[in-house]
Amino acid sequence: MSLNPTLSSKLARDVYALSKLPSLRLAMADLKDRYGNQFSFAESNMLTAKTGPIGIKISTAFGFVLEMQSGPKGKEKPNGHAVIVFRGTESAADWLTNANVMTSSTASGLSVHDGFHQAFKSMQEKTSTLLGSLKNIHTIHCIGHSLGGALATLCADWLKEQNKTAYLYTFGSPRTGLHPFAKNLTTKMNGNIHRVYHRTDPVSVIPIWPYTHVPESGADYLLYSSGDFFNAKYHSMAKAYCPKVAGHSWSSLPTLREAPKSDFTIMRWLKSKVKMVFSYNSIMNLNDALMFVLKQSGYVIPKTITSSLSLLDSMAYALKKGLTLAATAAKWIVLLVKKLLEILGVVKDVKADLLSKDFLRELLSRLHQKVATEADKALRIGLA
Amino acid sequence: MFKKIIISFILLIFSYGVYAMSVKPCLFSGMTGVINYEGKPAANVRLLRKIEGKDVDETITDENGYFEFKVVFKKKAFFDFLPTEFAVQQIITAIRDDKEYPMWIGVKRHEEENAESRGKPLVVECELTLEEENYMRINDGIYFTLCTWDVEADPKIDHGTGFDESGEKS
Repeated sequence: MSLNPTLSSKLARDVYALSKLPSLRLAMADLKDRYGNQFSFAESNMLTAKTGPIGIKISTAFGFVLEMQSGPKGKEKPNGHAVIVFRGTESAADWLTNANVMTSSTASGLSVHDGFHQAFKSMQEKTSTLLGSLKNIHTIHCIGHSLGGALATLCADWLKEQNKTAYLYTFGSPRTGLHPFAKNLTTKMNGNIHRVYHRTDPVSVIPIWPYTHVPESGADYLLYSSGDFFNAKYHSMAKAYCPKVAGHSWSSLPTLREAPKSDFTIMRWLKSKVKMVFSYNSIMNLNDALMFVLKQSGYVIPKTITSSLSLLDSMAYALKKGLTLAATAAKWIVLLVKKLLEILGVVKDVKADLLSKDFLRELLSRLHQKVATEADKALRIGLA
Repeated sequence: MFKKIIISFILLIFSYGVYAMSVKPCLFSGMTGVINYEGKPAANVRLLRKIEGKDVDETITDENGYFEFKVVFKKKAFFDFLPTEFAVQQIITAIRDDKEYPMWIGVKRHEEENAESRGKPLVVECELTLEEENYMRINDGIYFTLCTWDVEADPKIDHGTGFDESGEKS
């Protein structure tokens, strides 16, 4: 049985403050007050991780493992459930990690964002020891907000690879892995994923395709936010996500999944002269157009990515091939390149035969960077 | 009449927008107060304040046990942390006759000034000989202190058994 939205969102919120308390004694006093005797700490339950670019690794407390002491109505105690809660993004170092689009392979052999993966790997051993020290645990609930959502996602995948029963709860999570990873995890989790997000939460749109959210299909929980422009306030766990889901059951929250766009809609957008602004609709159109054009070029997302051929290399290679081999694809590639240049603020004539593989790769790289920095900027407005 | 209501509503939304844009994240609100020792105002108590990401600053109580700490905002800096989810550790240690007292251990969770006291000026009265810290949760923040101040704690949100008893996705 899954945790309810109130408890899972409270844990995702409370981990921020809990991980900032200077001693375990105070953290335990706080937890006891908040959750009565519902949870007990496992011994030395703090998770730490190193984040940041090469040379500037910063070690911070990232989460907790807690053992539940009581179960759902009518169940005997102890009930065999544990929760693992990950804290989200907080420092600039985290954001530099987020802007990095390198991929690496998880235990399931599928590609995920390397920055998230490195952060998870740095706490994996500790997590393993902590979970191993819990007796008679049969179900683990992985919870996180923001980067914490990505870490919870990787944790759920890692637990499923060990044939454990896992539930996943994410709030305002970025996209953690490439499409094959998202599809594989969605199948493995068999409906036990609760993804909660706002359209105007800037973190929920990064990184762009082929990074894909989990669940890849089925229900997710889209909360109401006004307008189309990103706003930092919709990313706040304490002020936006927590109050909105409190008191709900999962079945009483809206489960609107936006329908995939038709090829016709995407083609019309590529041909349109609509000015690009950094809004949800623009980014999603771009996301879908990228997917459409690459598919037209015969691109298949590699299941594993080697160091000699990175994700961006493989995409640039497919686009270049599309330009030379398929006349129908070439037309859409040129239109996409025009859109990308417009977003990047570059005025340039685009001629199909002049587009080199290196140029296309650079364009894709700058696009990822641009989306990450724009999301970052949106988070700063109103806060700085 | 109806028009007037609409116009004032629009103005209200607009002014909120301006307000939201102008909020500077406050790391520790300005604090004034009195330090007591065994119920009496304690003079010459050194107070060291450590705010996460900032250098330690300090003050000392006067003959009436009175002290003041100025408000600290987050400065813009290229490599400063971006509070995408605001959570700042606040610690004040009191030193009297070479003995240290954990006067204030807090985590501020809302960026507004005076979030520690729900918008009112933060005026505290502290007793160094208190055996157990006072524990308060205010605006999602946590405060373990030797102080009291005029504020109401957050209401508890009931999460029931914690499990989704509605039966969906069980």
